Amino acid sequence: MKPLKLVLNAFGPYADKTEIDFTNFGEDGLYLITGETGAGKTTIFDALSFALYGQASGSIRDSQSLRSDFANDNNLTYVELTFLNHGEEYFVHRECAYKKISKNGNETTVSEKAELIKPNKINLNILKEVNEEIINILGIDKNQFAQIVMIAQGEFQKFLLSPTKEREKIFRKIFRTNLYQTFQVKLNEKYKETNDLKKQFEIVLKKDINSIIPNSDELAQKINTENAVYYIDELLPLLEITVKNDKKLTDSFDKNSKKLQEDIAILNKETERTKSINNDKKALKELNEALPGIKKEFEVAEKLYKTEKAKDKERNELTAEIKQLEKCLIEYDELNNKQIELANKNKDLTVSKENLKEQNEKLKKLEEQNKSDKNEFEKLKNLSGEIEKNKSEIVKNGEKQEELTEIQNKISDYKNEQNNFEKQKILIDCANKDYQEKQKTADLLYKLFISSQAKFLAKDLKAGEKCPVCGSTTHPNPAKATKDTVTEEEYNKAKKIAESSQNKYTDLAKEVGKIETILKNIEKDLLKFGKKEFNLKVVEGLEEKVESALLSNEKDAKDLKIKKSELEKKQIQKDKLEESIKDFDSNKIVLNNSIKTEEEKQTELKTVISALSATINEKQKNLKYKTKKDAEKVLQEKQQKYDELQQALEKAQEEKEETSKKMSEAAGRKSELEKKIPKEEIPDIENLEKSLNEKQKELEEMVNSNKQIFNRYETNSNAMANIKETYKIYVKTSEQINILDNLNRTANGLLNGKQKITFENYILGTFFEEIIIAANRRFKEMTSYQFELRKAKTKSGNAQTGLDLDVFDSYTGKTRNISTLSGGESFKAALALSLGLSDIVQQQAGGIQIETMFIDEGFGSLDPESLNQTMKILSDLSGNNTLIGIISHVDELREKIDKKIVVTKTQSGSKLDICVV
Amino acid sequence: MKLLHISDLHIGKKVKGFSLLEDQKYILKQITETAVEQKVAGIIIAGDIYDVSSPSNDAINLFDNFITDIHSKGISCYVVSGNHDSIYRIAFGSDIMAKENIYFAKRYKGEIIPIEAGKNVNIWLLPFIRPMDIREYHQDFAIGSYDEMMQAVIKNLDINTKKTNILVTHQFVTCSGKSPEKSDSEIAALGTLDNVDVSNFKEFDYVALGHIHKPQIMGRDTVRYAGSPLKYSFSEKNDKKSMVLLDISPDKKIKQELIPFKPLHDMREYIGTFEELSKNQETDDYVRIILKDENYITDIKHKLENKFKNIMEILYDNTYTRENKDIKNVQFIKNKTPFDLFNQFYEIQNNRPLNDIQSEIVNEIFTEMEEAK
Repeated sequence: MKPLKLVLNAFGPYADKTEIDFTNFGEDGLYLITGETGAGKTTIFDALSFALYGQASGSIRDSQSLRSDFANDNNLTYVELTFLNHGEEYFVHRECAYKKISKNGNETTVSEKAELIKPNKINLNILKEVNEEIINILGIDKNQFAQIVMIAQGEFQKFLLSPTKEREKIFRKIFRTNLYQTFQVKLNEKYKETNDLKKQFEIVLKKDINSIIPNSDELAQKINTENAVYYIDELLPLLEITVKNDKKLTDSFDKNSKKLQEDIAILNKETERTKSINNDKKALKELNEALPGIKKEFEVAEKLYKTEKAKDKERNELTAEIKQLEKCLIEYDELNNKQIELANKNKDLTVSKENLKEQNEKLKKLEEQNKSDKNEFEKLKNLSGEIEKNKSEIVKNGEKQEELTEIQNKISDYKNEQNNFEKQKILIDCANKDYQEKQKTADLLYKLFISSQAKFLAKDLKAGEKCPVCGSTTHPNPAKATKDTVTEEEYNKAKKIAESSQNKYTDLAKEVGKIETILKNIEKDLLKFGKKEFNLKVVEGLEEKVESALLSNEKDAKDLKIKKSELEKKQIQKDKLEESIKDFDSNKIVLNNSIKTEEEKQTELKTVISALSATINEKQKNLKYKTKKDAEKVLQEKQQKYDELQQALEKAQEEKEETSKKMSEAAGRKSELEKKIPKEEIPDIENLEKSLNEKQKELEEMVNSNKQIFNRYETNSNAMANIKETYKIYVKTSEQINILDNLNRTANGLLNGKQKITFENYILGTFFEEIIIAANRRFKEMTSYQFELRKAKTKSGNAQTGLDLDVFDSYTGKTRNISTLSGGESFKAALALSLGLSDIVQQQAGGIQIETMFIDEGFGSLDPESLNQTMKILSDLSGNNTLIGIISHVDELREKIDKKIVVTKTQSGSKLDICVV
Repeated sequence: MKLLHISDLHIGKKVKGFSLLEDQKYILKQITETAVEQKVAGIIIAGDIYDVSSPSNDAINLFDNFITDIHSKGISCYVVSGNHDSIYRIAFGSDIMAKENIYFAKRYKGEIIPIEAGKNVNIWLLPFIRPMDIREYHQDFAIGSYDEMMQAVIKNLDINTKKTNILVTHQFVTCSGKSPEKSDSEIAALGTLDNVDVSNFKEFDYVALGHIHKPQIMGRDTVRYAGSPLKYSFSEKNDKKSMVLLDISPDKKIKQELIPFKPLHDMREYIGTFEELSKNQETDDYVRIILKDENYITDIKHKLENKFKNIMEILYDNTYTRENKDIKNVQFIKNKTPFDLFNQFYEIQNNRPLNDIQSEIVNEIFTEMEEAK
């Protein structure tokens, strides 16, 4: 991996977009990154690491804190890296995760984004994919990268001085030996599992052992020893013997008890038999006693039956009578029906009669009605005339009303106009006065004007000259100039004023004139009307008369209205009557028709009724009993009697049969019993029972005693079987445990008396040895062949040692702990170790090419000679196509190394400049 | 006229922790004495006066005394700064000192004014430069490499070939790509190839070079590295350290004589077993001891310090060190299965390999793990 171009934006102290073009430094060699403390030198490495793996180089820095504090919010923090790998160019762009405050004040975290463009132009966008692909391309992950390529500030010292556990962790990550660690753990688990299993078996065995019921002290002792489990070999044979013995005992018991049981069964049977024989005997005896009684019964029943049978004749007679009576009953029903019918018909007749009456009455009423209607109608003959009259009167009234109102209006107009006239008159007077005045003024002014003119003329008057006015030559009294001169203008003005005043006056006069005419006209009308109506000659008093006329007119109008409505009512009535009269004729016809039909109906009914009565009379003659009920009663009596007779007969028959049966049964039974009862002697029941009890008791005792033994036998034989089975597996498991124990101890470094190294440590140790060899190649040179790194010998007792470092001093020929090196020496050792580690990783990972390296500080602890030696090592390393970047602020290096990146700190962030020769 | 040519004094240098100041003092005295003896007109020092750009007080003091001494003897000095020196420090007060014929080369600013050292002898002082230092003064030139830089510089010089022109420079001069023999004490080129071809100097009658510590000529015998007066690393242990005495005749013929140095302490290498070496004579040379003993001897340094007062390095050369412990083990891990590895480990711990039952169990577990992945 060789970086070609790195772009930082808002990253660390770099506020703006900052570019580093590594191609300026050529294919290989050393270049220096220098600048003040905190300027941003290590940030460049952080950026590189971040671009590839998304996390900062050292363990101190956190991803989110990479965002530049100098950048404004809109400026996104990102890093872009173009790099070569195996001759092909890749481009990766990565944006930092950051916290954003959204509009509503919530803080959200925008996650990291990454993009990778591969040489075949394939573009990867998903963060996870990009990360995986980069690890794939480079062949190393972040941890390995941090160990090999980037030797960050303080990190390699840590590595040098870290205890084995830490180094283990680091190596494990780098060389991926966790496979072996897992193996160790798994082995341990397996061992534990099997051990648990073994323990379980022991518990089961113990339980079984405890369940054994010993029958001897020896056995009891064996059971009760602690760890009886381990002595099962001895226990089992003893147990077998016990079981065998017990079996024997139980077997013999079985035999004996069986025999006893048989005996008991036999006895039982005997007892039963005897019992039943005794019962039979008893029964026979009883039967013999009962037999004669039964016979007697039979004879009685037979007799009775015979008697009853003899009454046959009577029975037959009764049957015939009953039949006849039944026939009769039907007749009664028929009669009844006819009677009902008759009644109905009668009812109909009455109804019809009533109807007829009704109809006649109706007819009468109708004719009366008609008469009255006609009278009424006559009365209203003149109605239409009256109505017309009323109409015209109303109209007239209306007209009058109008006229009166008109007059009233005119009167008011007249009044108004009079007022107006008065007003105008006053105005005229004023106007006139005004005009007079004005005219007077004008005249005055005219006089003055003339006199002024005169005076004016007079001025020029010379005696002897003709006067312009009169032509006189003498001027006795010329007008004297006075102060009051009036010009023509003034006079004209006054004249005009007077004229206008006059106009006003004339206008007003005209107005008044108009009003006067109007008044005259109105007066004329009013007088005309007054004369006509009220015979008034003057206008006075007209108003009141008109008013009163209006009032009376209104009253008339009201009366007329009332009359109108009355007349209307009457009109309606009249119309109704007209109709009714019209209808009378048709109604009359209808009624007559219905009366006729009714009469016909009546005659018909009468005929039917007489017919029915005749039939009824005849029927009644023929019947024997008066009513149906009577007949029924008789029938019932007969029936009852018959039933009684029948019943008696049946009963007698039954009785007979029963008794006969009884008799034959008894006979049969008797012969049976006689056959059954044996002739010979039967044993005594009491004796039998006694011996039975004895035997049973004996059996019980036997059983009890056997129970115990049997129980013991069963338990023991079960236990024995279980133990045998379990023991087999247990033995196998124990064997396995031993093997596993040994393996486990070996793998986990727990073997007694051996070096306490775990399997993984062994592997790691081998790697470690390689690393040391590789490191020594350089370390020896850097220390002028004085020092050499050695793997520390493991001290017995601790499984963790195996990765400790010692340093061998050839000057003293002794080894001592690595922590005894000075600062500068430690730096050399650490550097050599890192380079060695890098070599091994590259070989182990199979052909990953690390063509770049970065070393962050540490050179300050070297004296000039050591510095030279280190530089030599590094420049040798850089000789094979590797570009090595060094961060240092040591002056010597600044002078010695031509190619530089100079980082400067400013108030608004940092800047960098690339200086090449 | 006679001139003495030396270079690469590296005053104040420490080698393997030993301060060589006394040795330097001693050798500077020799130089002064030789200069006086040979009646030299001036001493040319071709760079790397000090070892570091900020030398120690003692170093400055030593050089100060040296120059003062030379001056008091009426001898001129022609000094250029080398790649180890800080030119600003070296050129401090150079204008004033020039008045006393002690010439320190000033920072190159586009041209060099030669110093007239006697009739018809021009001495051109060129301090150590890099292309980036001079680009601004030769903007019409494309200066990419050191060679191009030198071309630009030389082109700009007004060389009067009638006079004897001597150039003093501290660049890394090669001849048609062939490098001079280098020693460990020179810093390897930390960066670009900074060599300059000797053909650039064809107009100069003599070029006094510095930078390489082994005395040698480059291309022609009038282009010469004076070499360092002392051995500064064991790679120089066989060098014949010398100063160059130039005798310039008016017809531009230059005679050269190498006057060897006799240092206070020599730098030598001793090889042998401890026994052999403990029989050695006492010496206080700076030594590197190579022991051929197979076993490491405790406190070897102390034990040898008896005879060897100034031990710089002790090395062992035995089968152990000679064994090329190659990385077989890693292959060894790579090519073995986990089972094989465990078997091996088990054997180491238990002195017997895994038996069948054990192997079965182990294999089972490994298979389980494989499936679980």
